[in-house]
Amino acid sequence: MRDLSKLKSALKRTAADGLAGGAARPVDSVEAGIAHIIDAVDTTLMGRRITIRIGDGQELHLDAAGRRLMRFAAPVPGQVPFDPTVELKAEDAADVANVLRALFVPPTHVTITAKPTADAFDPTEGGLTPAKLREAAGLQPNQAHDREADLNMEPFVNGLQEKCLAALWIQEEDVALLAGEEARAAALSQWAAPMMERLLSPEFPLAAALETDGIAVFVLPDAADRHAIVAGRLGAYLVAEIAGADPSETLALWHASRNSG
Amino acid sequence: MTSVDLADFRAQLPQCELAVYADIGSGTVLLTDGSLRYPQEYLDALCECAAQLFRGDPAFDGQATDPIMVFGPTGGRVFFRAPSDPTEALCCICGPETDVTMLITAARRMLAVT
Repeated sequence: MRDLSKLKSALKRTAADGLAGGAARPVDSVEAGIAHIIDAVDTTLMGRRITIRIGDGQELHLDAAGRRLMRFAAPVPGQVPFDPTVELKAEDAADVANVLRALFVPPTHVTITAKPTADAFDPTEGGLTPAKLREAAGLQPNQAHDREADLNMEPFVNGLQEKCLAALWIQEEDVALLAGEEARAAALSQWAAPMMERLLSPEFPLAAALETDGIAVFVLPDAADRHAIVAGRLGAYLVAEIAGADPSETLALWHASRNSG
Repeated sequence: MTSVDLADFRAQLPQCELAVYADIGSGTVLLTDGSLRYPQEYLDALCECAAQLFRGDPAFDGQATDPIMVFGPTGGRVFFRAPSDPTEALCCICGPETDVTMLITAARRMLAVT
């Protein structure tokens, strides 16, 4: 008998890497179609060009970053001529909703793919938020999913405290020292800067997963009796040097903290 | 390293769903053993992850970092550099409940005789 649980977990893991790669999703209503697109925007932190193929024909190209729809990356045939070079603003929400609505009349399947875009976007300003898009499209607010609360990293930080030799908290351009003597923290910062650049580069295939909700663990030789981590949630990062060669407790704590936040 | 070595290694680790042995210098997948058949581009992406992690200098405070693991809510990837040839690496895809201590021990044991 085929073990479907393994297949299911493997598929979930593949999906966690980013947007599903080319699988067509059935859409049975206009609202369901729009919701797929808004969800794609809502799960995009690093700049991505999202391609939406409706049925087997029309394609729409959007740029998203920082969980915001930043702009149409190409003109939309037969619709309001959005300028692909101009970022969307709050007052564009109704026009964008109309474009999305027209795509799913009649409802058909949708295929959503994404790839990195070299264009830089301000992750905190501009564009249209998923909430604004939902409101403009007449969808119910996503009340059941309080992502900010889900991704609170405080339980993880608190759990690590005694084993933390040095820890940095990085959020946007602010870096705070959470624990550690000056020399250890300096060494940690020196290591973290190029490592973060590599881990979060658009060319690194796991960058989006780490940025959204992930942990990278760097195991050192047993004699060093410590390990280093970079944990990311919604664009904020904990970089820490942790006592003990075995990272299993740290990973267990990280998994547990995700369910307790 | 043979395909039997890789299969024996994975058989010890129920949560390890895929093990890939790759030449990260050339980006060539050399051996795979998995519970599912993965498309080549997926294997290539895994190989690219290892290459990017080990290509630069991931040393921490002057000490080599190996393995390097990246975990998310639904599982993780664990990358080991082959001690006999730093251009080769073992890449594993594991479930979230993986016993990483056992994984590291088993991988280091296998790579030591490769």
